[in-house]
Amino acid sequence: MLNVYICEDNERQREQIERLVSHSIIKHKLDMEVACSTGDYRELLEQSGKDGHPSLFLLDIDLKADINGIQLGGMLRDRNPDCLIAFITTHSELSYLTFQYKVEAFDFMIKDDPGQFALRLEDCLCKAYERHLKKGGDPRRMTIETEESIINVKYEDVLFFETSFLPHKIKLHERNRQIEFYGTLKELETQLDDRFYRCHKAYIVNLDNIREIDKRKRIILMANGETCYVSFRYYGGLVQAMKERMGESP
Amino acid sequence: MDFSTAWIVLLFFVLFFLKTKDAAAAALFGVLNFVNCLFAMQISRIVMGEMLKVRDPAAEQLFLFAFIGVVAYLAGRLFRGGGSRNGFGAQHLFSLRQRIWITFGNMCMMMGGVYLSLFFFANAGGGQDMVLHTLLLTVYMAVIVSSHRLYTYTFKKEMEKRQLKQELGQLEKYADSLEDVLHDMRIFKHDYANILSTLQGFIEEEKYEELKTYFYRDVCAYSDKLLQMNTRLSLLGRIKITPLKGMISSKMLKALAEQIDVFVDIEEDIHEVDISALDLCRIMGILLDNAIEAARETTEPIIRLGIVSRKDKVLFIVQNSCPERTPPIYKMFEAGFSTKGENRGIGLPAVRELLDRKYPEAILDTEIDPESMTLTQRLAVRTAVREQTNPKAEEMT
Repeated sequence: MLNVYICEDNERQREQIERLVSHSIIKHKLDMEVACSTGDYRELLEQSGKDGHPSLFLLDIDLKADINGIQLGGMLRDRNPDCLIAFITTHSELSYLTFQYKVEAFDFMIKDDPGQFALRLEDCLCKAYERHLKKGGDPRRMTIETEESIINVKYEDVLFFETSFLPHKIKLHERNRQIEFYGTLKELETQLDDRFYRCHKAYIVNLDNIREIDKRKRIILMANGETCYVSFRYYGGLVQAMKERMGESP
Repeated sequence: MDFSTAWIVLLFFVLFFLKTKDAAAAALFGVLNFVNCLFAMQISRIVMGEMLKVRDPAAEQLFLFAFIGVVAYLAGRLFRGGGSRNGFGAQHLFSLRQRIWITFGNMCMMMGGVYLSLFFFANAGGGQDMVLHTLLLTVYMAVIVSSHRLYTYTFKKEMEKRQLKQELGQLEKYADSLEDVLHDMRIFKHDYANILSTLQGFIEEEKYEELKTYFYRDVCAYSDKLLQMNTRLSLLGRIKITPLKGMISSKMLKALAEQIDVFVDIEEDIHEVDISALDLCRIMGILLDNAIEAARETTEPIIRLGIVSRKDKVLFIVQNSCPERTPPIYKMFEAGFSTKGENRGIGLPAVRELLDRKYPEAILDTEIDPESMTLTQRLAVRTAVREQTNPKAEEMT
């Protein structure tokens, strides 16, 4: 069961959204329910999360109140890190970088064009429902939780982790990304599965993405051409781990 | 003149060349060290041989090396004050070659002074002569140091002036672009009134068919045009760090001039962050330059800039469309790498170096989405920790 909460100050638009949501729920046989539809954000805050069901919030940006939809979204996100938030907005208020990075919004819909909007809303509900069903995590993805943020990456894209010369800073090298975060390789090792191997004091490598190992220079060449190092002490272990890994998945 | 130590030139040339790959500067550096050595040998000869009357080669060598070391250190100190960082980030005021020339000058003056005065000391007759020479030496040194300070100071002021002028120019351009927006708004107001009165006319005459055609044909087309109008640049007004506002607006206007679609997303006012305004400008300048350079190669060029504050952090997000042949991320961080030949692409490695050296708290995240061919660069910085100022304590001082 996924609860839908709607916050839109304009009564007519709110009714329209409610109607569209109910239609989509029936049409796609979604296990969802409009739990609360209101123009007053305080009511929404009060009602949200009461029955413990996961929730999807559809928020208007301009609420004609002392806070706007983005701030409301931020408050909801702080209370409930797992909830889904989608914004209903006009073209001129569109600020999806803020949606994405401040509220970690799941989607946004532009209401300028009514026909388009109905389609987008339907699409959004289906996507939200799918996401809700898949909760428990995608096995192909891993989540690195740090004090500061949560980083979501695909296992197969990870090349290696590297310590920075700055204490407690780790650089994650992915195929299409480089990101830094705070942590130690030791902590990280416990979070990772057996496709990763600590091959150096400063590196943890993804065995699946190794292309070549230069034994003499102790350099590992990764699938995308990037290189990292293997220390003498771990060389034997790395080869052993790779053999085991190859045996597992030929 | 003894040229048996000319190998020093070669030694320092090789060392310096390996580090900087600049042959002329390396040659200069070699000669500098050679001259330094010549001076030092002469001085050591006078001190050891004529003043102290020591004939011990070991002591002489020791003195020579100690002396060269001290002089090199002093010359380095002096020129560092004038040549390099002055709160201008890691940017040097002078080029590498200029800096070596300055060091050269400083060193020659210092060594020359010491040499001459020693020469006189050695030949000085009585106590009075000694006092006079000491005095002269002191004055000489004082003049060198103070003149050096003076020109350092002048250069610093000059740089600040240049910086301010640039900032002012950028802000002026920004103001111009805002005026354009205002002008567009005025036209819009005028059109809007026209449309309303036309609609009213149709309604009063109850010509509903004409009303319908007019609405769908003209009004809708007009509103589409209106939506295309780019007013988002005015959001830059929310940046309260003036130099940053100027820099970003100038880059955005540059992008617009290159027919790149620009999207700005700043929801809240952005105040001080934990990075000096100059360094922040430098970093954002590099990120935006990279974005513009990549975006203009694409068929639907777009750049998105977002500044988002979240808890105690401010996120600077630069997104751009990038061409198919974009190199892998790790290549972008390699020094000297560029998609366009030599001497470009100093960008990202410099950003990383600056962040690592001065702002380890800041976090840089670079990502390419291969599906939409979008490059996203994110910089997360802490908001400035406002120092708890006690107004009473301030009053008292």
